[in-house]
Amino acid sequence: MSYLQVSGLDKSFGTTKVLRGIDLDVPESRIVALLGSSGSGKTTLLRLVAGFSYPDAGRILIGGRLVAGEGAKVPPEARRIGYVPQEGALFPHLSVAENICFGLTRAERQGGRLDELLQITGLAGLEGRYPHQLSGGQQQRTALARALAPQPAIVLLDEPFNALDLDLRRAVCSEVIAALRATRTTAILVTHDPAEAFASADLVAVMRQGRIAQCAAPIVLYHTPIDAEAARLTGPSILLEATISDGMATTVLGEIALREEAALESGFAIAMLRPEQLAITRGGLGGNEGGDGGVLARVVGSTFYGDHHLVTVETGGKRLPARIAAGPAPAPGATVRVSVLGSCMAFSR
Amino acid sequence: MSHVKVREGRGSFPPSLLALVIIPALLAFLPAAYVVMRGAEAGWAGTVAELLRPETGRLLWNTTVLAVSVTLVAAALALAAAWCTERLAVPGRDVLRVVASLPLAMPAFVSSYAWASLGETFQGMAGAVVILAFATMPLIYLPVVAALRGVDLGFEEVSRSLGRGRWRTFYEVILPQIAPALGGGALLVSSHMLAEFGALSFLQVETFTTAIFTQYDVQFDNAAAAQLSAVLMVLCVPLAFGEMSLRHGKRFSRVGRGNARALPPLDIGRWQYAVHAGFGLFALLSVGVPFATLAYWLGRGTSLGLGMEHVLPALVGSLSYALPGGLVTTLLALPLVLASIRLRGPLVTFAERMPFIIHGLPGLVIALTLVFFAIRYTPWLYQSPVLVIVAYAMLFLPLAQSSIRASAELAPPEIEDVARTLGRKPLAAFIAVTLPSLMPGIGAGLALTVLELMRELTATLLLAPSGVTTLATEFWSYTNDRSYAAAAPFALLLVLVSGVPVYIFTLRSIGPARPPLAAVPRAQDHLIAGEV
Repeated sequence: MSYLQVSGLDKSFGTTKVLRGIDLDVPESRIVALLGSSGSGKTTLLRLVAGFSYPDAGRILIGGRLVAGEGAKVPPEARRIGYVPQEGALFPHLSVAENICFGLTRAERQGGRLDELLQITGLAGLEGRYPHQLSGGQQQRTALARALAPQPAIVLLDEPFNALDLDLRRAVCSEVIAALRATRTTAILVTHDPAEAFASADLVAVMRQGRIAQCAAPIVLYHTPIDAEAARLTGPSILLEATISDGMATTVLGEIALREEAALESGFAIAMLRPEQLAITRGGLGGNEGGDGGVLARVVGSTFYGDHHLVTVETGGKRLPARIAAGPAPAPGATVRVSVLGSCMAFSR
Repeated sequence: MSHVKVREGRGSFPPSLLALVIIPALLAFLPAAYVVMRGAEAGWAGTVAELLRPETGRLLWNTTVLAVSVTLVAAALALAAAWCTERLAVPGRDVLRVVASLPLAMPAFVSSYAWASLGETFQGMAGAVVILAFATMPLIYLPVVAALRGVDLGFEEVSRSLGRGRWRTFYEVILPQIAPALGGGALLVSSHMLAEFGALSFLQVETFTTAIFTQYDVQFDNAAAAQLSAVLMVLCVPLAFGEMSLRHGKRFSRVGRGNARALPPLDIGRWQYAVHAGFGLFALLSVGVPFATLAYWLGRGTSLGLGMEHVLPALVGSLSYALPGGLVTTLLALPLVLASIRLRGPLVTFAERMPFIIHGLPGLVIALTLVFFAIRYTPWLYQSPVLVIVAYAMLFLPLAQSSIRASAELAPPEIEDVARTLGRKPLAAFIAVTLPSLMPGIGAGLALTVLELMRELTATLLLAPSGVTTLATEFWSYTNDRSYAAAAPFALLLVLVSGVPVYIFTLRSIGPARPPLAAVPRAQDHLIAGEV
């Protein structure tokens, strides 16, 4: 059973439609990521769920209870929501312990709830500190502990790791997700970082222009986005013109097997690969196209990123990026053989 | 694909409080209504004839010469002083910064009193320009210092590396960056000169403001006073608009967060003695002589047997108006600031900025306006303390606004959202999390406004019920009667009252490489005060 049910949600600010017919189901104890670029409406959706504003149309149910739509207007304080905004928004005049206990009744504060939360979020020993005495990661974990304290029905995280440096960001994100998993909390995470969404969530919903374009498990979404734009939003992608026939796509890289999810009839289409699906081997003289399962290409550039090279190759007038995990990269000007690993996704043009 | 961020204003604001936000803005139209209505009563032909009198031309000339001269002298002094204290390797720069800010503790009308009491040589236009330029110099010096510190070392280095010399770098790279601060300060000084009353009446310089008071003194509810007020408003409003737009614009633009890299100060060798001598002379003339004179008159007064018995009623009078005035002003400012942060839109922006325009009008014009409307429509309010408080709030709202704003901007509205999700109703959420973070700003605004109101002269003079005296009104009337010794204890108290905010808000924030006090308004924000 879905714990959060959102259906047919519309919201406009002035004349601008920000949300158009949003449907979203979040199963109990699951984490759903809302992935989208800025202006896609993901934060607005989160704020409607929290109750900071109300939808123009549609309805929201939390734990089977109608909280918005059809005449219901449950204010945020009555929704049992945990909310972790950008930069944490800790109450600056309260200590860590006072922040965490803010949503607890006097009786609840007496029990061991505070210690329990300090343990879960790894903040033990810091309870007497004030927000300005905490590092960015500690602030975010305090914000999470504060949201979890009253045992909310659902926790909403609005790009909570944005203010952190990249290194710290990954670490704090995995700590926060671990704490959510440990407490079996239902949560929505808003983010524009595909890697963060994939690493954190059970389901990722891609938002654009006020709609949810696709909602699927991370692996499914990564390999079978529904269109070229969803492909770009979920990571680097290679898009090739293709002719489809008999479950194969014919492209400048030769024939590539089509994924069965790409339910396409024969005809013209766009084939999609991820850069790590291109394999590069040294191309010998006299290699012939199609032989050895690959095509010949010329290296036009190579960039070293530490853990991988990004090699740009040109074939059939098209430049393609390929990831090379280790070893020396071919020099620019060299001729190489490019072959495709696995199958490709395809979209109609 | 749209990348435009579409968002509602953050945080909640109860619609029932919107009336409170609009009232101050509506009050802003009263002065304009006053001059138009009073002009109509007097007849348009008479009004035009009055405005075309040679007397009006003389006042215009005097007012313009005074405002322009004082502004130019003060700007030159301020720029030179700021350059010396921020960019030159002169020993004791911290002390020099204090010296340059000292005149803030010496209200213009007190230093004018001191110089005027030394004899007629120092009275008249020339004396007034020098005395007032010294007194107002910090209003330009402090923002320029802040701007100079915000100029990143990188700009100067890049300019030098591209072949510009030191002077060209200053004119082409540094000056444009401090220009908004310099311009804002200069406009502030100009508008203070248009509004200045006490100092000019002591120094025998006639401007529109003093002439309006004379007219009012000659004949109560005088048509000529309204006509001259109209001209004065035409001069003031553009200055106020300019100052306001610089204040709300990119005046304190700083690249990136945190401090700009500190510039290595320039070694000037023996010239440092000249710098020290210059600052010494400045301290002597701006503060030294007035203090010595004040001490002399205090001694004379004591020997004449003038004691505290005539000071105490005035002190009580000042406090009994300044405290409620400050409280009302601060309470009015709070919804205004919150609305401007949480609700966006032209109406709220207008409401938030209008008080800055009224603040640019002379207290005298505001007082005449309130007299005019009170005697015609609410006679029961005339000669009541309520009218004084209204005038105070109109004149000093921006002071409280700036202080509260400094705190409010540090308190993200999200904290109220979070408190809501944790079970607090809107008002409870505001009280539990927002109000505590606003308290430093509210406290600072209240203190600042009260201290500023204790030295307010013109509105008090015109509006206070008969028999009520304050420090400023007693000081003014004794000085006007040339009873310099009798005025001395009042002058001393006024200096003390002025000194406290200068110490709290200015000297602490211009100290060496110390992070600015987050909860305390920037020094420049409180400098909009200081008009008496």
